[in-house]
Amino acid sequence: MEKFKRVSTYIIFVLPALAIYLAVIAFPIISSVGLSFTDYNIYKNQAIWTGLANYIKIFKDPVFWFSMKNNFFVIFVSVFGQIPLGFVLAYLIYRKLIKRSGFFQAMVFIPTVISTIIVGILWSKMFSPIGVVPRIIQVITNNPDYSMTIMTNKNLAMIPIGFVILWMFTGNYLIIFLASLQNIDPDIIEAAQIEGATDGQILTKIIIPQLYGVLVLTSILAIAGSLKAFDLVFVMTGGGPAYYTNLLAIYMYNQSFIFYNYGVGSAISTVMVALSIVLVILIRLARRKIDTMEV
Amino acid sequence: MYEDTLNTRKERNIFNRLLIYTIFIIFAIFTLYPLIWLFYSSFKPQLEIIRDSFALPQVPTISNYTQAIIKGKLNIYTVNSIIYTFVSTGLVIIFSMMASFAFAKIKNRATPFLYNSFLIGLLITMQAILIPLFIVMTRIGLRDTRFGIIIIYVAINLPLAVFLGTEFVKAIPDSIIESAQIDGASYFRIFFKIILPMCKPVMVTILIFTALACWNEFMLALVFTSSDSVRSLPVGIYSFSGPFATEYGMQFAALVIGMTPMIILYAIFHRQITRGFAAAGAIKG
Repeated sequence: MEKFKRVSTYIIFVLPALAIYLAVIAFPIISSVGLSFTDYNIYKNQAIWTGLANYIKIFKDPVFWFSMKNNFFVIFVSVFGQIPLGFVLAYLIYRKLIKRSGFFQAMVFIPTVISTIIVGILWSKMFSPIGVVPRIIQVITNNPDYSMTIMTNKNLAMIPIGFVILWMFTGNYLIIFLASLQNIDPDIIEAAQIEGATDGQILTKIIIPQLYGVLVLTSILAIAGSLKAFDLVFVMTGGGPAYYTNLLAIYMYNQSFIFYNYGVGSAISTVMVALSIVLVILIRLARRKIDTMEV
Repeated sequence: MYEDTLNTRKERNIFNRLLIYTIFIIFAIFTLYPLIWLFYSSFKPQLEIIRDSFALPQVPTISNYTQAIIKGKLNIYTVNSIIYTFVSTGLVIIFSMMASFAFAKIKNRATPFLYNSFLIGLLITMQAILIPLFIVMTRIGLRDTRFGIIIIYVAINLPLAVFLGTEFVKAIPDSIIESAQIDGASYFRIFFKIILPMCKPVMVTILIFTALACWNEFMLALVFTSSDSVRSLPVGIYSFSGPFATEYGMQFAALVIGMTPMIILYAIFHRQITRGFAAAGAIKG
């Protein structure tokens, strides 16, 4: 009786969360893989097995490879921009090299809490003819006729996007690094100082090795975040000009909800999930690394 | 200790200090200027915006705001966003705390499997559920309904909430629960009278994360809503770039309305938000 009561209570407490989670997340993930092998038509509610046709189609599509390339650009900006920048800022605050660090920390962090689409629209306005960026360039170059075309240039349009990505998410990494820096045992550093170690030596020989796990982890998180990026680029350029700023997620959105190729869309999302699974494995490995390091 | 001894060192020269301050001041300007520019531009009439994007408003007007509400239906979108944020956040807190209590304090062999299933959800990309969910929601008539959006928002925010909640409840000593049981308290009584009051800090963290995520969510709302009466604020603001693409003042006003609540939330809870992001960042990113 006692056991029955315990089990029934367990079920009552877990069920609401579990039911919603299974229905909205677990079940769709599985069926998404299935759909990717079909030519599902939503009006007929009919799916015919087409094997690998959708995958062959996307791998032959230059837009897919363009999107992939842009995703790698976003990954590059995140890993080699946000992380080093976030680390340097966190280190400077940790070392108390500035006063009013709370204010500056807030300044770097605030963009993170604003909606991505608001940030995207705001900056696309900043870069547009009615924005201030072209005006500033006009003043600096003393050329009142200067007009900004970077957002519509097929080779350069990713650059402002990269800038906005840095603007928006660096604060997140600053916070993560600052928290892990503050977790370092001050005794170790003090001991090193007594031994006569310089600041540079302390940074490279003590602090960075201690943060090795966090660095790996944040890199993987930055990659995972970059893979699923959608909102910012969608509102800034919509993937244009043409498809030169497409990301995988935008490519998938267009295939599914503009062209109604749900099978193709599912194939793209399956490719994205496969990439994330690789990352999950990496995260597990990084975790193990951190666990062994923190002992 | 480390910092103090370093601060007393004389070797740090003025040049370094200047450089460091310059870096941070540049960051501050880069953050503040666009926000300030947006704010004052939202009070400029259309002609002033086109004539000089730098200048402060000469004849400040609130017509951009009234236009955004009358023509742009921003009031409807705002109400929808408030409903989505409040209801979803409330449900996420209740459901996640219930599950957390069961996972952490009621012994059951299913716990490791179920708990890990939730943790996998932390790493799921939304694109992976988008199409099947779209098909199912369309079939059962939940697409383009408030109820449908709320269910989705609850589901996508549960993994992090269940994780944070379970880890928190685990840290509550078993002895408190055992002594309550000896006194004859039921699991429900223990949950409501002992666990929930002790879980306030983690509930605040869950509240902040879920509220931020729901208020700012864009892609799912874009796909799952099509009529004005159901659209959320981010989708509404995005839709301005279509028919009202050249009505800049209206768009500026919409952006200000969209971001102000989150900046206020940050001003109130900045400590909790920072701590939460640091903790969740280590798990999720």
